[in-house]
Amino acid sequence: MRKNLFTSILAFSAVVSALCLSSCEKVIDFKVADSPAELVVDAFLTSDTVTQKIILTYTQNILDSSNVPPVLGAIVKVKNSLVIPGVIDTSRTFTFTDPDNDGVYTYDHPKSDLVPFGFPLSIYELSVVVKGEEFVSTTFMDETVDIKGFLGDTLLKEIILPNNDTIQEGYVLTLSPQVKDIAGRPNGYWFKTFKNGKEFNRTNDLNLAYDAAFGPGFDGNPFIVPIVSGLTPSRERFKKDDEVRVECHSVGVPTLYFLNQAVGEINNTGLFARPPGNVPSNIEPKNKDSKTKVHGWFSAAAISKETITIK
Amino acid sequence: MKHLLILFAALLLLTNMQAQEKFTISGTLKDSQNGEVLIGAAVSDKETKMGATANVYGFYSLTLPKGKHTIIYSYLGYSAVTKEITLDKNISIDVELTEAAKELKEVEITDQKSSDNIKRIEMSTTKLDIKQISRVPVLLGEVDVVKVVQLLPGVTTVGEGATGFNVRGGSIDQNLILLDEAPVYNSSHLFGFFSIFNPDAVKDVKLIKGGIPAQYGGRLSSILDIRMKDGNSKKFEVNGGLGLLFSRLSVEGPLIKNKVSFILAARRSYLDVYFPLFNNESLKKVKAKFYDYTGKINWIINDKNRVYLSGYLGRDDFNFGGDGSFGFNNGNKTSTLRYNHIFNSKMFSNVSFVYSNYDYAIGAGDEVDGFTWKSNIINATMKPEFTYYLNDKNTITFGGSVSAMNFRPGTITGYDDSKKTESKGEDKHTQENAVYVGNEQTLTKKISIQYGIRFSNFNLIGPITTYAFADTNANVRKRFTATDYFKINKHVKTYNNFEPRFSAKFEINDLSSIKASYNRMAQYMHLISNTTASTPFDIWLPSTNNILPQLCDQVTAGYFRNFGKNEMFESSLEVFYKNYQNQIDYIDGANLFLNNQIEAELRNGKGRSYGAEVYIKKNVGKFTGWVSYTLSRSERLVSYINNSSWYPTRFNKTHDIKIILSYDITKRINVSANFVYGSGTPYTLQNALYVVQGKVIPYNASGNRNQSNVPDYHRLDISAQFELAKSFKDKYSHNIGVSVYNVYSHRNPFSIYVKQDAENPQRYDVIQFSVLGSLVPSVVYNFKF
Repeated sequence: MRKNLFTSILAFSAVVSALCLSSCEKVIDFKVADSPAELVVDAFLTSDTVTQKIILTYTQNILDSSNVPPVLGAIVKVKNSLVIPGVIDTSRTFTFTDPDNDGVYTYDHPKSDLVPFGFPLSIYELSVVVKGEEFVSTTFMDETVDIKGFLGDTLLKEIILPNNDTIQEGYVLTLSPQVKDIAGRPNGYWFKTFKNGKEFNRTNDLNLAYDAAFGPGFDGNPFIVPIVSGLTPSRERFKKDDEVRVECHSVGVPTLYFLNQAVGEINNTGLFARPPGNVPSNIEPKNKDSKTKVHGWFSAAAISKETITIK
Repeated sequence: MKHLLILFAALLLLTNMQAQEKFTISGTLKDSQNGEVLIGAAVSDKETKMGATANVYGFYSLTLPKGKHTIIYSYLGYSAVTKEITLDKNISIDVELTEAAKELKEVEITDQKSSDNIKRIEMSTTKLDIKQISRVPVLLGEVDVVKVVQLLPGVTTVGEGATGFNVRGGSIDQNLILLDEAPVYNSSHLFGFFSIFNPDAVKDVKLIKGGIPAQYGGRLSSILDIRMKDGNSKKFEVNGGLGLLFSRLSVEGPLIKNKVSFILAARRSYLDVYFPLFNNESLKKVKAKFYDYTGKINWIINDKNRVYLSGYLGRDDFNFGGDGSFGFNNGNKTSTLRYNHIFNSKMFSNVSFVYSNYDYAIGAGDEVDGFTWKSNIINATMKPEFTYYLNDKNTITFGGSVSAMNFRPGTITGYDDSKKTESKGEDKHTQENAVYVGNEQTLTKKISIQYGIRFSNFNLIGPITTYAFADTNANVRKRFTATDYFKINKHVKTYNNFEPRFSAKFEINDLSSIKASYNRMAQYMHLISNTTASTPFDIWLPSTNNILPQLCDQVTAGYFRNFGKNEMFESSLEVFYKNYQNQIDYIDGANLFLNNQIEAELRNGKGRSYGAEVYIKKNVGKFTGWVSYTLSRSERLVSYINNSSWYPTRFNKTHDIKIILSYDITKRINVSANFVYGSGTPYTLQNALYVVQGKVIPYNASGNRNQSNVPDYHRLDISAQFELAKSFKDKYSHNIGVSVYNVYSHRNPFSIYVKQDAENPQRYDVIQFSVLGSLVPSVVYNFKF
């Protein structure tokens, strides 16, 4: 519903724009002053057995559309602590390296290790040292809901959109209402969809759930319709033999706010734009007196996934 | 407070000591053609040079020494009436003035110099009558009260398509818009392109920006007092118009001649007729209309008692059509019942009962998968007001108001697979009360003062859940700490404010005066909106335990001077300084929709605005109009915004020039033109980007807000009105108006922002956004019989 509301407001501004007697938006030739390049940390760890990645880059001028510059020569470590008083007290540190010298720091967890890298309900601490200065962050890996065996598909007929575009007949994903939000505490989920191995990761493909909906009040419920229909990206229809994978990442509520606000800032244009705001980061210099700015986010999520082949 | 009362009593005594036998002339001033009362008409005595003006109900009271007097009754654009009287007791004289024929105006003004602005104590106040308003060219030729108010000095807007207006650096929720005393929360149709007031039903418009008298309160920056016609009490009259966007029709007339009259006026847009004609399939399906009805009936029971009942109903109804269709509708309903009672020649009273209901709903989808969100604000007010014309030197006003409000933040009905869920935001009940007393006092022939005090009291009342938050000082959501529940009628929070008001006038000579004023205003309701242009579904919130009342202190000083042959020009130079407390701002990424802990998203700051306004106006003759120039600055200070230093508001305009001219070429042809030029309003642009999870996020490295300005705004509008030959034995008169808005098709920038490329998310462009990109011609046909 809330997403509906948000898209409604976008639709509203779109129609207002359409009412303009000529095109409202004009690209202007504009020089934007450079600002110093600042560290950006993109650290979204998962409980998956794949290679864990932490990407370090720098900010760059908004009008520069080349790839953002990588941060090289950093020391990147992640510490995982699982403490249940009297039961378990483990703490391990994993070192990430940049073998390709491209700012993508990776860690491969040995398959032989009986304790997995991702441990739901445990704490992860990040340490990044760049040019002698250390930046730190702490996050919590929550449990996720299991979607294995609950994903399905259904055939939808061709739809003609108001602007005469058509969405061809095809399949969309369904999720059994047996899949319910974890009751008892606020949860944040990020649903990702992949077709034939490729992720839908456009800005507006972001499909986030706060408990079973878009905000408090739906604790422990089956996921609401807009979230389920969001598993199939807008205007996408799957065809026979497509291999579709859905992942449910338990990113937690703070990460959900981060992603929501990031997309909000990206889409903040038009008649009803807000004053631009900067998206806060949960990473900070270890030295509290340091004035060095750092951006980005540190998150650890448990993953459940399911792959189906459309038949 | 005690000291103020002593001062008040002492001042009264001061002027009351001379004992000389005096009597009072009182009565009502009306238009001889239609019986409408003439608000602000002047009454003056040739011998003593003393004078009075008619109040909003046309009532005047003038106390003079015993003896012979020549009383002159005058009103701008009307032939003056002179009465010789011998005053040996209190007498009542009702006078009807006749509108002067156009060609007589230049001569007539010898009798009625427009020296009101010199002699009256009020400052920072502009009065417009509907005839003036109707000559100003506006968008699509629709006579528009609010658009003309926007052309006055000290009034700005962010641009076309922005609802509301900003007065002397105040935000749009700081204007009290009254339609026959009923508050109007959203004064526009179609997202700010048109105002909701039907010009056929409006008689008089007054904007008060400073030196606000004690009877007004509840908003910080201005009072826009719109008075509706009472309806022709002499004969039936039909007015109407056919435009490109609206049609209007109004009927007025006597039900019992000179006793009971009424007016009914309606407007409807035919946007819904246009949309199917669009080439664009998505616009074809749009169903949009807006309409309004205005009505009033009044009954003159006898010389001493009169009752008015007026009402307004307006709606905007939009449905964007198609699958998962999105729509919204919103509207104001107001009704006012007023009772005038004249106790005697010195005491006038009015009691108003006001009810208003502003509601808005948005919805999308259908009853299988969709939602609707309905919200409203209901207000019921009782407002007794008294004017006591104590003697020739003192006019005391006193009264109060009791007002109950219910803020319904909304009921959301959702349908997921036909399952209906309803979640209801909690209502907020408030009570706002005020008492006031003020006196306008003539100290000497040249000096008069007006002083008063208003005491306002606000209560937030249960049933309600309140929230407490930890004070966070960073730019993040406040941390929720506790909740509390208050039962029905339990007082949750009370705020009291004394609002002193003071004005003074010193007449240098017959042609010039200086004036100064101070006022404090308190405001207990707040429009929650962080978008550049406010939307029809922005919510209003009352003050709460977390939201403090807004306060504003304003000082103004001005020099007023008339010049030219017969004082045909009036001019003024005013300076003002305003200091605001408890101004609302928002954390970055604030979630203002459907959020029951919305207070956690708000920040509290202060503000200031200051400036100078020059205004030159010509009211009479073939050539009329005004020129105004405003130099001003409006700023806010909110911790962590703009690196915790003062920043200009989004509607700050350093220079603002307005030229409004109208010329009668012949008796039948009038041409008018407006030219407006203003500094561009500020914007904030991100200068850097970074990438997280493939999302390319814009970033403002400097942390500055509103430090750059969009290019300057300028626009020329022209119009011409052709009076057609009267027909049907001169009973049917009609005219055609043609106008062109934005003559040279200037694309005035509304804002500048960065926008991500749809194909390449790594790429951002700088976009200049304009609401109107071309000229807008229009034709209107008006008739009257």
